[in-house]
Amino acid sequence: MSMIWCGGEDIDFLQGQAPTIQTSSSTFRSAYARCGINNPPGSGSFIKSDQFTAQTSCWLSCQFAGDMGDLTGRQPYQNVIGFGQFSSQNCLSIGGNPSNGQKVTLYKYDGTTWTQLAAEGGASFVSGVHRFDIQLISYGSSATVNVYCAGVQIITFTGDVSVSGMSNTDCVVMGPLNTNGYGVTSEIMVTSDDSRAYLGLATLAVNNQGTTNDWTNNTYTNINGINYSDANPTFSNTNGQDQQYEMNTLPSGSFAIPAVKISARSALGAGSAVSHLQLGYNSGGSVGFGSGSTKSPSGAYANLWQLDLTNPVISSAWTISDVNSLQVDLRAET
Amino acid sequence: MAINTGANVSKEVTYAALTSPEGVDTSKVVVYAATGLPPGDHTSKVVVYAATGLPPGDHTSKVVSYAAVGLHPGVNTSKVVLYAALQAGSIAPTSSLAFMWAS
Repeated sequence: MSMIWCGGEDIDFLQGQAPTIQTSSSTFRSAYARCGINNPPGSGSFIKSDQFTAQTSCWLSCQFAGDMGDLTGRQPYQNVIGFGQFSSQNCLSIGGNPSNGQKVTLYKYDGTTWTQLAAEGGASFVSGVHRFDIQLISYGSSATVNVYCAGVQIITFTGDVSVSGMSNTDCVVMGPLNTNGYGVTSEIMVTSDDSRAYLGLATLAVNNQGTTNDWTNNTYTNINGINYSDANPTFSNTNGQDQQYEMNTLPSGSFAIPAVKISARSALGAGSAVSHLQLGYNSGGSVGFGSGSTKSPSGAYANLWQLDLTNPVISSAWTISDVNSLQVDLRAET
Repeated sequence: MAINTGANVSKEVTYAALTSPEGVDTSKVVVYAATGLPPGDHTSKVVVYAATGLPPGDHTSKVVSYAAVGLHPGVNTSKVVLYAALQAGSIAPTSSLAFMWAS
């Protein structure tokens, strides 16, 4: 029972339209994240996460900022976030309600038709940053969906949540919208265990070069933008070369760290002598790579990600001291 | 004007002008370069418009050039970020976290 996927920056959500980045500190928890994301302007705007292993039962958690009150009366719904199908716009989502934009509503969408499944009695899409958790049990014709705001259950629905052609969920979606981009989402996590037990998702940005710096053009500011840019990448065409970077530290406090994830937007140049990128860590002076950490970048930039539930350098659970001294390691390989 | 017609040029369109005592004038050249370029300078688009009815000599009335962003041979990485999921325990309260507990 554990983390399936997590993210919160632009490179994690480039499978549909490119998201808009919000850096106003009132729209996300600045101790955890350095930005929030929202849909680009325009009716029908739709953004989608990287694909993860298909699930029929899981939890989706996020922080959301946005008063949806002024959307009252607009048709159809205003999708905030939901379980999506990577190959389409099919989804099972929460969003605003036409009768009251602040009323959290559960619906399913098949790319054309919106079907309302349930709506909360209260009104939770109000100003401020709020935590939402959505539990999906047995996606299909006899599913159960529970929605929580700030830990309080606001919706429970049992019945048919199925959408034609969609048999599970393998991505997170935001949209489509019925008006301009609205609301800011951050700290997005998909878990197989109860997401309400997670305090949040800390984003650790690159803040310096590391111990080993074999790659070319490796100045850390080339790769640590809140908004990604492909104009000035670091690169290596030599097998076994490592490029390490120091990272920001965690929020202060006492907590467990059930997962660490690396997102690396990467591509392979023409005529390369190498063909793989391995995503790992320098932890305590030793380098290690987790299972499945060897990635195959293509000729076009895409986000490659590696999720490690334990520290692969020491084969033990992550600790605060591990992460606070962690360096990410990029290794070029044939 | 010399136009690179090497492997990176994916499209070239040339329109010949009809009126020129010195021979064929090029009234328009458009070049689009493919993606996945090696390092170095690459011109992804060149547009040249030449006026008609010109006296002898070279004439160029407009040039537009866009530089393509090329991939270097090897693995290229343009952004890296790391996420850590936090669970159980507690985090020291700060002003930026106040709304977490209030919500």
